[in-house]
Amino acid sequence: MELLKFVVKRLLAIVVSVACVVALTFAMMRVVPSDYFAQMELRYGANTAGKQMLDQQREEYRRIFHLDDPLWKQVGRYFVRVMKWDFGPSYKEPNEPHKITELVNAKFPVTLSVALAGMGIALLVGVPLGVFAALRRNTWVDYLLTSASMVGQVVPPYVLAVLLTLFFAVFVRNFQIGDSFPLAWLALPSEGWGSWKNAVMPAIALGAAPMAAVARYIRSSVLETLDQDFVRTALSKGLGRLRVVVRHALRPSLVPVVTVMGPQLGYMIVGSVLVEDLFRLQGLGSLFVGAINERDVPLVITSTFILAATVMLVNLVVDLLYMVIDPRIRPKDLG
Amino acid sequence: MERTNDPVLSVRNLSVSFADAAGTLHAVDDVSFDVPEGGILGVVGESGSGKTVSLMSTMGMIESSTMHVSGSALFRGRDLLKMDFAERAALRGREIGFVFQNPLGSLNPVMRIGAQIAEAPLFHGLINRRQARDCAISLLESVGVANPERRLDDYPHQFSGGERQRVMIAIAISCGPRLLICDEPTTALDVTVERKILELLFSLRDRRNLSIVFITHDLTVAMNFADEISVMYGGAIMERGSALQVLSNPAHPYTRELFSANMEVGKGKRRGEEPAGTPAEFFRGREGCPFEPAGGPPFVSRSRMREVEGEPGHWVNDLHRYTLETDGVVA
Repeated sequence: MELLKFVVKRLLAIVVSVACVVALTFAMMRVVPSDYFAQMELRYGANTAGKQMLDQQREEYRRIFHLDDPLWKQVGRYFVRVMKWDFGPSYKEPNEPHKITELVNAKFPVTLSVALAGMGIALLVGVPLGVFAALRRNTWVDYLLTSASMVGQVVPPYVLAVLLTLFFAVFVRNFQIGDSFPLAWLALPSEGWGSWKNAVMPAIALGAAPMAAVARYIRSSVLETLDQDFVRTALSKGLGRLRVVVRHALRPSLVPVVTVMGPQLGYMIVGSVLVEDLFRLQGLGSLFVGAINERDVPLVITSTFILAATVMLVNLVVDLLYMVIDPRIRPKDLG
Repeated sequence: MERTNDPVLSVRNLSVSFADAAGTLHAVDDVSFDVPEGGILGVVGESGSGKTVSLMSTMGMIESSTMHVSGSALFRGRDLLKMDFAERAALRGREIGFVFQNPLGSLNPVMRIGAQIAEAPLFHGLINRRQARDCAISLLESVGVANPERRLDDYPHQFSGGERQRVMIAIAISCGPRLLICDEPTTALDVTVERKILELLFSLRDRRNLSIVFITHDLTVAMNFADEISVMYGGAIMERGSALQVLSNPAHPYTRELFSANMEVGKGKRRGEEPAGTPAEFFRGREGCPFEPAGGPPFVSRSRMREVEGEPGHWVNDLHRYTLETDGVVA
């Protein structure tokens, strides 16, 4: 009951915050220098006739997109549509009323699954590595893992993406799998999500840095937990060292890791642009960056909406995870 | 008390030191004591006197690469100090149970009470998964926690301080051990709760034929509770004997001081010369009777036990007298 109240309260807060973010984006897109038509002109150049045509189009857009309405009315209209999961047409294709919805429906699952796979790799590899380093504290194994994770944390995902591509390309070529250029096997078909194999390298590229972070946090967190009295109790039961760590020290040690990794998942969704680009994934990242460059206002606003809502929902899930990990944490502690 | 059997635990000439870059720290020096079968040994001393280290080091409960232990500790005829990690781990929980000072911190905060209680018997193969619940219920019952069926799925923070210590005791006796090591089990508790926990330990001793080592800084509690007393200071035993012997004829000035400190609280009466520092400071380098002020002659060992005349089994560390009488002579 207490929990239900907490979740409902948080969901309401998320709705309000997302509304604020969207309204702010509406306002900012008005003050941003240049607009869609100016960008078109810049990109394609225009003679006098072309300029006239663009001006004409601008007038037309004022009507189609209700640009002369007051801000609150525009924001309100947007929200009414969003309730029905309808993001309207983009500037680029004003005659397709559900264009943005289609784009989001097709591309969001790609971005989300790559981010989740990356997080999965980060946790599944990072946690055991951290525990192992903690068990072998101050030995060469520990030093090796700690330095490796330091390197892992500073290598940007796009550099890693290139290295991975090179490695697998050479690997595939050397082992003579197919005649085609290896990248063709690795890249996605231009539409849709394709096979899970296509997610492996992007997930590694995205997950490597968080994995290194997880390993470091788990190591220090486990070492801290090992100093606590209940670990001594576990030892007094005659349990072996590994069992003491896995059964007793690991779960309390996860709390700081969740704190760090929750926002990380948000960043991974937001920041996967370069990785998506390098692996030719049809994700949200490149769509949104393109939208900003072209000043495609409806698309920019929708991207902000999607990203803000995702990050906030992830944070809610993180808070719920706290309560799963540590029964002492109650909804009222999380505010 | 009649003792027909051998002691459950017999520690002889136990020395524990920790060597690090700063030097060697002699935490325990030449300590010997027995835990009688079915009896209670009270180990009394202030913090840093080595009472915990002397027990825990023999049980493999101190994991330190810098620790050096010598002497012998016979548990039912087997020398604990000659065992490896796995052999001692097999005894811990199974034949030797532990109760610690801080009951809240000593229980895993994210694990249900029932799971924590049944863990040791499961691990040592005494019960299977299906029996775990019933086992935990009967253990909770035997340590006097009300409504055990309902409390089983609670977490430690949902228990009161006294109940937590009862849970700790349930964990300690879960495998039916022969020996219970209680390290200041009542220090963190209210006086009324302390009384009840002591009564519980007493009744468990009788019902389950347990032998108990009771580590405490409270001489009064030890006198009321224990059959045998060892008084420790600065890593050495100052005096040991039956509770009656020590109470009626305290032979060492430190024991007498402990008694008078208990009886004359608030009067500010202390002996003329304080010990030269906290016990921890004695550990480094200085040798000799730890109870003597600094500046005394260095000695090879910190104990020179002598049996009190006419009182078999009552031993006193005579090093302080030796120091005074042979001023300046290196033994």
